[in-house]
Amino acid sequence: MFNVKGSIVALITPFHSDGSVNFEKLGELLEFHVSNQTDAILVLGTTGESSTMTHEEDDSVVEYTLKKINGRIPVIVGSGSNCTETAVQKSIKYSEMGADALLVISPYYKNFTFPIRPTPFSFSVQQENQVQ
Amino acid sequence: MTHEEDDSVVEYTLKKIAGRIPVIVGSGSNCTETAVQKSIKYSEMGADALLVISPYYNKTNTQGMIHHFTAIADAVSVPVILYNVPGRTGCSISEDAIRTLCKHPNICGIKEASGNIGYATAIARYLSDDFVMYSGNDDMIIPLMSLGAIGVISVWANIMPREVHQLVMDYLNGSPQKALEAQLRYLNLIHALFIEVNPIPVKEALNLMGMNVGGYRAPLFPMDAHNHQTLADAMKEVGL
Repeated sequence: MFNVKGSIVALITPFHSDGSVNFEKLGELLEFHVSNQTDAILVLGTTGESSTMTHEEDDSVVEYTLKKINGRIPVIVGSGSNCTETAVQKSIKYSEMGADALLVISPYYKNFTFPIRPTPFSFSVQQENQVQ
Repeated sequence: MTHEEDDSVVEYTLKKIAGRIPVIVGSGSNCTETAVQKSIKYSEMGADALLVISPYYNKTNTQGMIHHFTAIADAVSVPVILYNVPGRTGCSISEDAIRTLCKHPNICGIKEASGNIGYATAIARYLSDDFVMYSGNDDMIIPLMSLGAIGVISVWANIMPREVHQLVMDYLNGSPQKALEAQLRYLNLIHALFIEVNPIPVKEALNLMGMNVGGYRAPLFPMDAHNHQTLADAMKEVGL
């Protein structure tokens, strides 16, 4: 299992002045951490402002980070959501992309924004009671 | 729910209600840009007002809070109701932010659900005809009305709309004692409706009443058996 010892940086996401992701700076930050003994990288955490990034931006940050780090230290990706189905889908995607581990937040508030269509996933109260 | 489902619910509701009573639409998000876009869309669709949550989970500072709500209120022409529920969001809309936001011509009020009477009292100083307060807690309708709230945005009303309406009207029309009696008479039931995370119990209550509203989407989950019994007993106690 994943058992990295040491300092895992909850990395900020650098932005250009127009608000778009600054990948060049992201690359610099990643190299800065590798050369300063950070033991693992966490992208798309709360510190990475994932709440205000699109799914497409999330994906690009993960892709860029994994390529740039290239196995030198582990990369952990925040894949949580307050919608279980969204969290499952993001977790599958990032694990397939090569994340070394996933950081999954507990369900906060309620989801208003949901670009990915969920598969129908509802519990019938009656069925659930029968199971119990 | 997906954005497409959100839109369909708003469209259906507005068409079905057809102006008979106002329709308020929740258009908030913890991403300001998303909240602005949703607010524009729903106001164009015909919503009478918007209910806008403070940035939950990611949170912000006082200036960020002011900017968030101002950006939304500037983008639309319909009234915006602020929604303060720190128990869910992890952040309260500070009194300083309220002092600024209450002056915005499109910000018409606040749904106050902190459960903190001290906070509600502080906010009460900013109330006027142009900035009203609604209780966001069913178990605190009377306390908040004593501070000037003019009603409640209610979970309880899902199962007892007449009683909730009557409680508020009694208070406003000079019978606060009668309103208080209703608040206390139904307090066990109100507590039972929040024995687990809302809306788990209220949906179960509607199902117990035979209204067949269905289940939940994960992470919401059917009620614990013991809590279910508590809810059923509380409903029976008031004749439901």
